[in-house]
Amino acid sequence: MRYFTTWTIICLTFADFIYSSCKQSPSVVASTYTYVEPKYGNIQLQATNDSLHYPLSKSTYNDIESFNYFIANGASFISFFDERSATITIYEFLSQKRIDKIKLKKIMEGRSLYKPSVYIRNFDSIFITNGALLYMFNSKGEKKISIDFLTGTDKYAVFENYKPPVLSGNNLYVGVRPYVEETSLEAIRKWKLLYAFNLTNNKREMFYSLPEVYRENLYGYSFMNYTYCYNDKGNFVFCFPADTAIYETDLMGYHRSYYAKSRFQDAPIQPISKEVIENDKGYNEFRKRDSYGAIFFDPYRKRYLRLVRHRAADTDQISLNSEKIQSIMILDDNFKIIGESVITDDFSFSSIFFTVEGGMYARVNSKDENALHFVRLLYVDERHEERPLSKN
Amino acid sequence: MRWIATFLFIAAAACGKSGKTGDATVELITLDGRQDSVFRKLITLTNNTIAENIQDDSLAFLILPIEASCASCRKKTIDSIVIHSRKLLDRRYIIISAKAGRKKINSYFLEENAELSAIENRLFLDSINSAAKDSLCFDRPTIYYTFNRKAYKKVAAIPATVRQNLRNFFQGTEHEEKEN
Repeated sequence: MRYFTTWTIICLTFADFIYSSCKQSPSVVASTYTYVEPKYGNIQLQATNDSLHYPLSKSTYNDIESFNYFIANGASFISFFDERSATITIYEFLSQKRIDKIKLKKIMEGRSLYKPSVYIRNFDSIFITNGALLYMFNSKGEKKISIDFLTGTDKYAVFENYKPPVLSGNNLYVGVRPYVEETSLEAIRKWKLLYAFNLTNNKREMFYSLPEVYRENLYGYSFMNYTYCYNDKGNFVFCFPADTAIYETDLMGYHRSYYAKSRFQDAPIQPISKEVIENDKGYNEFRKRDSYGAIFFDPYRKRYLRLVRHRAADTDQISLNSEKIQSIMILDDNFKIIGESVITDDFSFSSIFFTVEGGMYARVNSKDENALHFVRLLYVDERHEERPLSKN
Repeated sequence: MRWIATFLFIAAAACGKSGKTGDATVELITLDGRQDSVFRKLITLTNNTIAENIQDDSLAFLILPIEASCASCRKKTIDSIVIHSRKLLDRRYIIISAKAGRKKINSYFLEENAELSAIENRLFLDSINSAAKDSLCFDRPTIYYTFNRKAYKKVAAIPATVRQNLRNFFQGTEHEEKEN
């Protein structure tokens, strides 16, 4: 009887260990690959003359760490967090009139201001992250929620336009800074990319891992800056700089990958050796390779937009550190590639956002120190067809 | 006490002569090709405004990566620039490097209750952070000494040495050491 009890305890402990191990990594679910025959049509994004200009005061700067567009009380607003002055400035979106300025040093008094980022959902839900916690303040500056991060420098949540916060149920999903030990496959395999902060019980959990190509090869820090968007099916779509595929997941059992290779990429994206990365040459190697940047989902035209950074043409271009040529791939809602064109207008792709009326805007002239500028972008299809707008 | 002073002196001397090591602040540039290329990059950072006939002389360049430097080194360097802006020695050049324009660069001077003032053809703003891209500096105020169109010494300041490094630059003592 004693042996039976001991044996039962051992079995239960082992079962619990197996269960815990599985529970800790629900996101390492193999993806089902789908190849959709691409049709690289000549769709372009073109900057228009429709522009918005948000003036900066003497003591605010163009050093925008995070920004977002939001709707409150039936009106649209845009907020900018300027890291240099540590202030959040909110403007009425269309009138471009400044309506509020929040000083982080005041609202975060007594709290760390290390690596802050800001997301304003509405005037009573102002989310701020620093190197250790997620906070939520109301319009009076009163702290309503604080949830600490899991320990470890690879677990800093951050609000970025190309890693948008997603509120689903009680959870706020937030992306993570790419801050993993770049030469350790073990660390890379363990790294999770997404936080879920439960706003009702203050618990947090991490989801989703890097894809196979990263789990088997080293690419270095420059290739770590993953991005994602959130589609109309309620799924996350992840994009990785060294991976031609994109990944759609509900973070549970649904996990699909799709062919999303640039027509300009004519060779595989080669890994980078540990020695090269350790000798601080990783960035140079990054510039010699094609890579993929931000991904966005246009909820009105139901298209995905994916940035492609072309490899530097020659050693001169690498040494001069000049901008890489970039193109934008466009995929339809079935993940079929329907276009890819080189960017000719001077706008920041990573700053693209969509307004409630279906407008698509991006930042331009980011060096201007006295105002923040945005232009409206339009799709220019080869047939110049007008596409009807509908969000659902 | 004397032993401690002697030890510190030897340690400082060893640091100064050892070339590039982990925490060393002084690097002697000995490779001919690198001496030339660093000098050319420095001339480019000064917008090619240094006259040809002066380029052979003993020159010194202070690069302040104003965003990347630690607060202590940044403050001391800004203070020194402000103090010496009206009486900057000949053949001394200052480059303030950042991924930012004049307004943001000036904000660091405002923090020290000062104003970024122009020093014609002696103080330059590197608003596209070329100095860092060209590996001339990283996260420390960095001083280069050149002679005969070659850079022969790089001094990357750290909090413990920044005062002395700046004194050498602004008072010209570094060159005197070499020339004597």
